[in-house]
Order: sequence, then structure tokens, then C-alpha cells
Amino acid sequence: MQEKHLKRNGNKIPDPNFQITNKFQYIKFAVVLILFLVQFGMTCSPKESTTLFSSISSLSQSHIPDLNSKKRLLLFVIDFDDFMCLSCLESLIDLYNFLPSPFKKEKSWGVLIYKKERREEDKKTALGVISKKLRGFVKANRIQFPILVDSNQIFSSLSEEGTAVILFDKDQKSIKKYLFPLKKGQKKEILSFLF
Amino acid sequence: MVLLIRTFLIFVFCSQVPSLEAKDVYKIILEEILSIGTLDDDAIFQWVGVNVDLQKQIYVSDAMDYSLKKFDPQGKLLKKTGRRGQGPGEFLAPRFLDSSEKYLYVIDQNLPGIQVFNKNLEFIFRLPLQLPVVDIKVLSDDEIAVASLLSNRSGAIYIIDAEGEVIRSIQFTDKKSPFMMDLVSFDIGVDGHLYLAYTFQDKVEKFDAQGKKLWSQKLLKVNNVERKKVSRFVVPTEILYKDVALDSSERLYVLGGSFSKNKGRDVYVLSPEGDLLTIITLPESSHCIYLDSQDFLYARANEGITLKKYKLHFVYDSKGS
Amino acid sequence: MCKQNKKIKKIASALLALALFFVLVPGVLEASACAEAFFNCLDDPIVSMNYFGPLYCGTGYLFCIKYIGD
Repeated sequence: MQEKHLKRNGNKIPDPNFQITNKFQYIKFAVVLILFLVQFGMTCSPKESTTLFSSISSLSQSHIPDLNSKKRLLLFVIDFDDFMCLSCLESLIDLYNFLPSPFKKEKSWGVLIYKKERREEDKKTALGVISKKLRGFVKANRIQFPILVDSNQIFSSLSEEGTAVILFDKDQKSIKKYLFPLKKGQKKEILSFLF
Repeated sequence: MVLLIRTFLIFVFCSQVPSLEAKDVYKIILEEILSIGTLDDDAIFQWVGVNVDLQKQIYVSDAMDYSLKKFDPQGKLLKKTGRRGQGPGEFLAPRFLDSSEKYLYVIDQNLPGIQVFNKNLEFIFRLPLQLPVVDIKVLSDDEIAVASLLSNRSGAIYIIDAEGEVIRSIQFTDKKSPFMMDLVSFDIGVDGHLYLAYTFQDKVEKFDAQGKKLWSQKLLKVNNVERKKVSRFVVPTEILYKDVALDSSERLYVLGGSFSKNKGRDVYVLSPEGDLLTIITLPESSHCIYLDSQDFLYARANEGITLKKYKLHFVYDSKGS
Repeated sequence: MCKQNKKIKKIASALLALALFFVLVPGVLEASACAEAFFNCLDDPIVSMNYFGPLYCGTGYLFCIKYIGD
């Protein structure tokens, strides 16, 4: 914006009224943008990433579900720390109870991840504790899909954000990741995607 | 006259003999005598609360499989009840428990009220209570003491009846503290004395049955606890004292938290007068401690998969020796 | 006056950066698992409708830090 000038006694002086207007315009613009961003943040959609797809496809084929024969799949990445947290997995259990039947069994897999530094001292006992708690969790919540303990830390890079569910869609050629606990509307979104 | 003199002399003589009660505990040695729950069995997955009745049966609440379990004194599982749910006898998040002669009282973190079971683990009724309960002590079937988290009325132990009505309260502080700062773990002695340890303040205190403070101790010399903002609340982040328990001599056992030398493992033992007698260090960290009527100590192991029972061997130090 | 406009622009940019920071950074700064669970519990619409809801979340937070806080 160009400054308007007035002429007074032949000298150019800035128009104070114009400057006040200009000042407020900047502030108005900033406030509107802030409000827009806050609104955007509150309704942010799940991550879609082709880089995620490529990083997973670079892993050994034996560690990921067979995507060729199935059109949609779920992969639950469960952080072991959430077992100790008491009630941290409520959102996952809630989602599981609403899943359509195929996604409770053959169309879902689970991976249990844990922090490597916790297990340095006594690996056998540590894995024993992890396996037992997983067994209890599966039994108590009647989880029907297989959950494997990631003892080789293959999925450790996915664990940084905690427990999550990843949706694979072959037709759409997309992968979506949702972190637990699910935000408002995400459960409905996942279920509508699966049905 | 002679009889009077003799009596006087006997009295003087007896008062010079050191009393056995004058001996203080110098050291306590733990001897593990029972371990319930191994890595291979399905006895316990993640126990939270424990209680032992007069018949030495052991009751445990298991948060992982939403259950209440009963073991015999040798650690054999006798019965299990409960599953995930909100109905009678169901749990979402079972936590601490206590018992009377007839019943077991179980707190659920996510459900209002206290569930009451008989000793056969059959659901009897739900004690209606809206207050979220953080600690419980059953005085009788008509009087249950609870510590609660309340935003505007705290600093008290509430005694409730079988209808869930507050019949009286023991005010242990009238100073208004920030949110959660006056949370306590407590126990009540046979004569109604209240012993409590603040969760987020360095204070261990004793009150008489009328609510008069008898003593207050600061064991860890901690002045301030870090607090952080979570949503619209500011909450403390580190625990000073996790739990308390009384033995049959009313010695107080206080389980330390993050500020102890051995975090979650140091148990401070105080005399009924508030003197620090000794410190026991558990082999593994625990979230709680429990002492049964025969002074056996129970604590956690293997991250909640195992319940350990210890015999306490007291080593005394005679005064003047 | 030109300097004043620049000053205003700087303030607006700083406000914008601050807004971006609070939008993109998680609501719980340096959250532990328990603090995060507490935050998520408070965020639950069902919990926020109940008068005692936040207190139950607080109880959950307490049990959590007792259990895993060593």
C-alpha cells in the first residue's frame, strides 16, 4: 500500500488518518488469520502421506499385511507404555468394539512396540512382561486379530507418536494414520471408511 | 509401716528396670515368603489393589482384565469375577479395595460409587457416591472413610454410610491449596487416630479421633513440587508419598515416590509418635503397600504382574545399650 | 511514519507466528503419558458435560502417575 500524502504549505506530509487506517488493517488481517488458523487446527484431518507408503513398502514383505489380495486393511500400532498408563487404551478398545466383523479378525493386524532403552537390562524378563500383558489385554478385550510384539524394533519409527491405527486402501492408493485417543469425528470417519 | 517401705522400695526398683517398650526398631529385614503371578501363568496381569481378610484370603483387583480375584494363603487362585462393563459386578478401571468382616469394597476410577461384593466375590450392591475416590478405609459396614478429589472442598476425609451419605468428616487442613495439592493417602488406627501422607507435599501427619493434629513430619525436606499446565488445570507432576499403611503396633509405613533415594521403593517407618525409625527398600518399585493383620507386607513386582508378600523381621535397638 | 508501519508489520508477524505455534504444537507442552491421558480425558465431550467429569480425569491422572511414576 502506498502512503497517501497531503500537501501542506507545499510540503508532503503523511496523512495521519490514512496511517491509522493502515495500522488497523494490518491488525485486522493478523487477527482474522489467527482465527482462521485456530479453526483449522481444531478440525485438522488425518495425515495422508505417500512418503509413509514408500517407507513401509521398503520394509521386508513378510512384516506387512498382504496388500495384493485385500483391498482395505488396518494396522494397529500399540505402544506398550499405554498398558502401564492404566486407561490409555480406552479409545482403541472403543473403536475395536465398533469395527465391522472382518476388521476384527482377518483384515486387521497389530504390532506392539516398546522403547528399546527400557529393555536393555534383562531382555528375557522384559519380553516376558510384555508378552504377558499383551495376552491379558487381548483376552480381556476379546481382540481377535493377531498382535505381534515388535522385538526387533522394526516399527520403532512409527512409535514416536504413540498408539495409532493405520488404514490401507488399495483402491484409493492411500494410507491414513489416526493417533489414539481419537479426536471428535475421527471414529465416525474411520468406520464410514470401512463400511 | 514396714509394708509401706517395702512397697515403696519395690516400686523404685521396678521403675529402674528398662521397659521392653522402650526399645526402638533399628532395622527391618524383608523376607519374601510368597509370590503370586509369574510371566507364564494367567493369575495376575496388572494388579492395582490388594486386601487380605482375617481368614488370610488375598483379594486383588486386576486392571488389565477388569476383574476381582481371590487367592488362598498359598497363592492359589480360588475365584475370579468381573469383566469390562458398567453393569453390576463389571469394571472399567478397578482400583483400590478394602474389606470389612462381611464385604469387599472396590473403587472404580471411571465409575461413580463403590461396588460391594461378598467374600465369595458375588456382587451385592453399589454404594452410591458421586465423589471420585482416591483412597478408602473400611471402618465398618456402616462407616467407610474415603479421601476424595474435590475442586472446591478438600482437605478432609469423609466418613460415609452404607447409603453413600456423608455422616461426618475429619478436616486435616483448612488451608485452601491449589488443585490436587492436598491429596492424601491415609490409614486409621484402632483407636480412631488418622495417619496421612500428602501425595504432593512433604507432610506426614497424625490426628486424634477428634481431628486434633498430634504431629507433622517432613521426611524428604522438599519445599516445592513442580506443577504443569494441562488444559485449564495446573497439576503437580511428581509424587512425594505414594501410600501409607499401619502395622499392628501402629507404626506407620510410608511409601516414597519420585523424591526418595530409591524412587518408589523406599518405605519410611515411623513410630506412633512420629519418629523415623528406619527405611526399608523394596526390591522393586511399587505403586502401593499393604500390611495385613499379621504384619505381612505386600508390594508390587514385575510391573504389576506379580504380588509379593514379605515377612518383616524387626531388629531392635535397646535404649542405653 | 514509515518506521511505525514497519513496527506494526513486525508485531502482526509476531502475533501470527505465536498463533501458528499454538496451533501446531500439541496442547500439552512436554507431556508425560499421564499428563497426555489427563488432557485427552478433559477433551472428551462426554466428560466435559458431567460436573464431576474433570475430577474423574484428575483421579485417573493420579492413579497413572502413582503406577508408572518411579
